[in-house]
Amino acid sequence: MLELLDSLLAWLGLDLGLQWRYLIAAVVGIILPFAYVLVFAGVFILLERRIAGRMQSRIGPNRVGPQGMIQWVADALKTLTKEDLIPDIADKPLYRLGPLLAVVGVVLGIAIVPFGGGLIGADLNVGMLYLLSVTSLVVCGMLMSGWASNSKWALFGGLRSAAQIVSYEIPHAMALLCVVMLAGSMSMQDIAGSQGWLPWDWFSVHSPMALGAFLIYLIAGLAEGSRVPFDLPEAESELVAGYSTEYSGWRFLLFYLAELANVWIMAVLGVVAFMGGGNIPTLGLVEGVAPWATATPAIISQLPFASMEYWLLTALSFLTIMFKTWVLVFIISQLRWTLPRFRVDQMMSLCWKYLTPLSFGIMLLIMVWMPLFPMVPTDQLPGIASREAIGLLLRGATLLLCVGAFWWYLKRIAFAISNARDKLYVKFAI
Amino acid sequence: MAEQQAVAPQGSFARYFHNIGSSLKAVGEGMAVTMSWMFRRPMTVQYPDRYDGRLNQFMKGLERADHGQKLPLVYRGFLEVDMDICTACMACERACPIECISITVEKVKDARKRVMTKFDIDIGKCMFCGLCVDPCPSGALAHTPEFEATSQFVENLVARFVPDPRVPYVPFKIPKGVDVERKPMGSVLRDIGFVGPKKDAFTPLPPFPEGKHSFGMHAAAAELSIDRS
Repeated sequence: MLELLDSLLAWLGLDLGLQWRYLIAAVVGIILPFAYVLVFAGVFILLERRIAGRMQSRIGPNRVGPQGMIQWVADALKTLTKEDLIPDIADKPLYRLGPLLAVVGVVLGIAIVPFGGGLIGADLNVGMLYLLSVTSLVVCGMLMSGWASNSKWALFGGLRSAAQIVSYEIPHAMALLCVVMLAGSMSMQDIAGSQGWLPWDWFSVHSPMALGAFLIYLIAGLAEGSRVPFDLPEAESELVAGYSTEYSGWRFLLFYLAELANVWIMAVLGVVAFMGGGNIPTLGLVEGVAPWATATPAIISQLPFASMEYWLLTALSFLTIMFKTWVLVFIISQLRWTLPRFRVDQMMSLCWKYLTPLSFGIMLLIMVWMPLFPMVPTDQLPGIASREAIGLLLRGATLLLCVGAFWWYLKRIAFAISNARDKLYVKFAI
Repeated sequence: MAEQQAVAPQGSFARYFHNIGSSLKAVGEGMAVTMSWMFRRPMTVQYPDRYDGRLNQFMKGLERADHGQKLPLVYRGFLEVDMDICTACMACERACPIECISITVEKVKDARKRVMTKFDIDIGKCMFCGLCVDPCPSGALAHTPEFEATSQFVENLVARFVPDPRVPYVPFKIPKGVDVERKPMGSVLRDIGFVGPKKDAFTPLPPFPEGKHSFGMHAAAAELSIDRS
């Protein structure tokens, strides 16, 4: 943020003191991502409800605004006007603090999330570590509000969420550690920049193990965000609403916001770490670089600020990262209407018997793999050694595996459609 | 079963990897099914503002070509009385647990005849339990497949099967050994304007004259109207 602001001020010809620049950067850096998260949460909840409707042969909300597009505004306003109830026997300071911690833990993570090109709050050199640390605040918030509510349902919810998130943090972190090893850096921009814009330069197809790490990351991310099928902390059929049972009004909304923002952070982190981030080809806009070479965030940042090329590449990069993120968000949303909820023992056995040992094994294998078959960017293909060629072939094989899995998925969709009892309509909007 | 069921392997090591593979495959299968629903038209009928005539087809019991649905024969919609075969036994009024049926039977002076001057069913109160239909001796009272009678005024939800008390109905005597013919289902409700195109949802009905009616004055008119079958 500060680098961006400095470039902007230099471009405008202004000279401000360091303290002012820090202040402006801090205020803008807080407001912009938070506003983005608010809008994302609204759009996501609307999209999810519409998708849920279509998948359950319903229509979903379509009355407020065209196609129900401002339903989320109405919902938020309605919830904000509700009374903020605090139970008489609740531990009041902790009760008030809980939702704030939950939302702060998520919003802090946005500081290091890249929005494509040079758009990033703060490109920390320990970005990944920072993200894993601050998102743990969410557990504190949930456990705190579960305890302070002085209600058995809330307490169960809080304890379940603590057990679940603490367990799943291990495979989650191990899967991301594989990426950190492959990129050789914890900075988000470096991780994005060490991949290419072509799918076979992504870390998810670096090797079969990296693909496994991607899947483990997705599963553990779902569990971290308490999404279905891991929504045990707020299982409404067992615990009324888990840790948020006693909450109403804007405090309840904060929990909701934290959950939805967590989905976005998980998706964008998956995109940056495994799916090439906002990398795009340079398209010949950068001097001395081939048009098909990857325009990494570093290359875009070195362009003269506010030049035509800079904005074009930044906008393209932003759109790329948004598109990939929404694809992942759609998959997360689709999983919610596909899978039933796990039992507690199933959830624990999945983590400790499957994901944790597998993620350790994957990490070790990638450690061995990296010196054996080093990763070559596609634009350096001529003149590679034989071991690197083998690595490239295996990468291609992994990509073929992904394509094959996707092909099988399409065939199964075609099968389900062709065996439907009803007459079908390929018609998306009602 | 021609299709062979996949058998889980016995060894614990093999079963471990079998579990991983089968769970991935199951998630993929499930996602394909949910995805296929994105290509289907929702079942929902956006009633009443995007009324496209489907409900009328439901009522007629016609099959919808695309969903293959119709109202079942035992569908319990609005109650309807065929006054031409009503015996004025008042069994339905006694059977009704919430007293939504109200019948008035009066004697016509000098004629030694009983006439029905009021047969109201408050559909707004009715809970469609069907207890009144069972004791009806002639089958005059029945559930129709009608279910649309929205009105701005709750008073309009009273179905009046004797529209004018000065034109009363004479009870029907069930002939022995002959099957009683009933009017088509829903036709009476449509004739009295309770459902259908004649329904006016935006004006309140005039109040029904309350209390006993003396038919001394109107005896002649009553006698005339009795023969209208």
